[in-house]
Amino acid sequence: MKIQAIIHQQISQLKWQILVCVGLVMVLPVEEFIVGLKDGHGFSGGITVFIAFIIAPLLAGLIACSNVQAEMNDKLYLFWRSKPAGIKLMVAIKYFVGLAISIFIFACPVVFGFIVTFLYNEKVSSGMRMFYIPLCFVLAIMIYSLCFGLNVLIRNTARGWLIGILLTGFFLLLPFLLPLNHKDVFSVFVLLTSRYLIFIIIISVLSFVLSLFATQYDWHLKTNLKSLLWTIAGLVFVLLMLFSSQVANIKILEEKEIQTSFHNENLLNYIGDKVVYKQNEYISTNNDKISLSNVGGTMGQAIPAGLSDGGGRYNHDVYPHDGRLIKQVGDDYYCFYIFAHGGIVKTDRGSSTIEYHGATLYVSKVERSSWVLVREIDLSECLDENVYNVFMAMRIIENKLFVFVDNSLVTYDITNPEDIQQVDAKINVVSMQRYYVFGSAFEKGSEIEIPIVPAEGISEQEKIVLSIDRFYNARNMYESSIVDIFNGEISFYGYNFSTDCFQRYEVMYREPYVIKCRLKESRQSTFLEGLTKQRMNKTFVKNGKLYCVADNTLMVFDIHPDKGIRKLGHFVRLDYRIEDMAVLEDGNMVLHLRWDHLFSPANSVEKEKNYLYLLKGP
Amino acid sequence: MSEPAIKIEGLHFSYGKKQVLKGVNLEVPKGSIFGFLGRNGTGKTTLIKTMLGLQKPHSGKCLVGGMDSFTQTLDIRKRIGFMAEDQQMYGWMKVKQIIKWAAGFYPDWDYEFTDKLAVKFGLPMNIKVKELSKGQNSSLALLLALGHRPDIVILDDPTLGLDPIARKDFLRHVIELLQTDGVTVFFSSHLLYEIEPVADHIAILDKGVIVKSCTTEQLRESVRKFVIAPSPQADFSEMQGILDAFQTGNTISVTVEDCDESKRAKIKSMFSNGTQETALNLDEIFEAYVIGNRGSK
Repeated sequence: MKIQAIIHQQISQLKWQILVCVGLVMVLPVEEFIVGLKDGHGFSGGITVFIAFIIAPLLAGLIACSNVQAEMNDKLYLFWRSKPAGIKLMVAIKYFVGLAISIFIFACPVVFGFIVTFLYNEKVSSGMRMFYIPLCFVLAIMIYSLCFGLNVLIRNTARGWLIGILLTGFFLLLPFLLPLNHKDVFSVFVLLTSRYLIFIIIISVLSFVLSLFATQYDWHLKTNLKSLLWTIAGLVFVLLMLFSSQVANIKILEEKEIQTSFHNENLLNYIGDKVVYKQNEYISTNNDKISLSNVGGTMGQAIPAGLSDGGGRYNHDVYPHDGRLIKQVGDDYYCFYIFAHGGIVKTDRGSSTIEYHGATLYVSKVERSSWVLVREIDLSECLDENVYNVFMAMRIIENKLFVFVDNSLVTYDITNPEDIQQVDAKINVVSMQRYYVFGSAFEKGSEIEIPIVPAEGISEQEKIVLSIDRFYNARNMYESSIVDIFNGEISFYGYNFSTDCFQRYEVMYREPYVIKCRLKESRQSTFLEGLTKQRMNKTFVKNGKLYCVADNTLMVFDIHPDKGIRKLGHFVRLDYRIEDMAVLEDGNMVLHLRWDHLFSPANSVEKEKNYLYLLKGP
Repeated sequence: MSEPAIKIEGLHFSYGKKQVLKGVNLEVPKGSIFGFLGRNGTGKTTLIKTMLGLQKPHSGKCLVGGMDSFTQTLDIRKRIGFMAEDQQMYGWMKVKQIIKWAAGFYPDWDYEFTDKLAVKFGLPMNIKVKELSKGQNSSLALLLALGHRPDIVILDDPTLGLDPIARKDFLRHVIELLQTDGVTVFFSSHLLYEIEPVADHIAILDKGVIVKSCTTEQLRESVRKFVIAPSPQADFSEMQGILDAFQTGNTISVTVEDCDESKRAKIKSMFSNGTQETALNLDEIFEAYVIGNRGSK
């Protein structure tokens, strides 16, 4: 068989389509070039990129359909099939000739853009970007291949093209929708490349293989408008199922409207492992309902009013935000918080900022249903000079309270909270002003070092956990940790806002002053996750699960080291905001959600509603 | 006896649940012009597609030139010339281009022969295929089927859509070119009068099975029609080979296949009032085979 004769036949057969397509893709760049030169604005590659990105792939699909349709007409099909030529070779030639033509059409505006860019370099705008070219290229290949395969099967130009375009959209969306977990077979393709290149090529190759077999065995899928509509409905259904399974698979056990007087008030706190609502009542689950039991009197605001508003004299900062590090000793409840205060100063640039002069550790106790200050310790010596951004953190480990202020650590024995004693002298710790791992585009395997906090009186493991939390979970370390320990292996987790990944760093080994960690795993957010979560507020680990709370989204992941970061559940309320969230002892979760009625008058009582949600632990 | 050009044994083929070929058995002798008759939709084209290796039978065997049609497809196609019903070709090609294109598939393409054929058929070489008349289109299809000098030529309703003159012209070419050349011609058609003058063997396909296969002469000789007066003692239930029986006024016409002396005697004994025996043309024979009333009384 003379292959060149077949190639010649293919090209001749498509010559009008080629001319029309080249005309379509070139008319705008040429027009822009001429007008741009005339006006002196130069050539902007934007339109070229648009054509390469949108028009050329669609035309590639049309070329595929024309290419196939010319041959698959029943009578013509019998004519060329009866010739002594290997059917697979014939189809392969048709496929590749059509593909070459599609690439040629795609290349026309791109090459034109580059030539013009080269010739009139000084007038070229930034619209002509190399980045888009490979993407458009593989997109064109995918559409071409799908349309080719489908047309061999369906033998109808319009329907084949339409389904090809729909499937392309479907396949392009699919990797975004599916959780990118290496245990998920489908996602393996996606994980192989961050740009979906291999995934697209696999789809293209499968379409090509389909066309080979469909021709060889004379598969002919008869379609009509009804079946076409069913196909579209099926694809939409699958997409919707994927959408819903991703964002609404945590069961809501109860929704309860609540009254709260404070905006942004943290209604949920821990005392030990128990969750407390409004500092008054323990929350637990009883028959899938929220069950409240009295803590022991109303506690009210932990921070005395004179301090919480700065006493009218100072600009201040409090840690924890609402002063709720609570410990139960016997029948008594104690609250610990640090209060830093300072004055307004002018910076070199002329703007105003706070310069912190002093810091105090307060200990309050519940007496007759209100907090009474029982101890105050001056921590001002922990502050360096010219502190404009004071770092504060605390954690209780057994009977020890570790207090971080600025670059110092002070440890107290809180066996008797009314008479807390400093255990050791103030220790200087490494400054927090360092590279933040969850804001950096590290690659898998990258190693980092975390300085060890030289805390005394706790185990080696606790020391590592404290060091990690101090660095990457300082804001919430008084009540949560980002560290997980499984079979003695220590890992910590977080959401990287730079790469939009959920990451696991494993602790490799400890050196005298630092612990060496390595980025072990990154789980890319899916497209839908990206849409629903706006800002990650809180990330913590509890009982082998990673909890991530964004403005209106809660995601729960299984973090078993052998299985990787695997999503267990996703809860989203797009018009709500998650104010606070806590994990109950039975694994269920309780959320405080606030709903803003955006379109109500400002003074309407309907403007804002608050709810407690009890969610089934996934 | 020499090996048949085409040998089909127990061939079954279905499109989904619809069974089209139900155990076809057929032998096409070498060098014969084999008329393959069947009504539209009885499976003629399906059988031809199987012979060409275009589709795999569900069971059974199909040997063309001694080769299996599905495993040795390419070798078979090199030896076969095929022309489909209402043959469509690349309309945008010129006649000379399509000849060149088709020649590319066959190493033994006989350019001299095709040039002669083109002149003989009066084919204009420089006009596009889509501009040819129906008759010219059929002639070109025949030329393309014969250009490589095949041993076996398969013609699937080749005159479909041609006017009577073009049809006769086409058949004349077929006879001239093939009858004298020792080529086996498998001529499928639903038009009896078209096959009758050229075929030396006939097979009739009905409802997916071959209901008759023999030489044309045997077929003419063996099928007879008896016109008889009705009689109460007339009972055909014991008689084999009744293809058709119907009553018109005071007479009954009975068409019998494989009509020998014993059958003749039996019929005459049943009807003492006398019988009239007539020979049938192929049209009538075909009609009796495919739409005949096999009623016994």
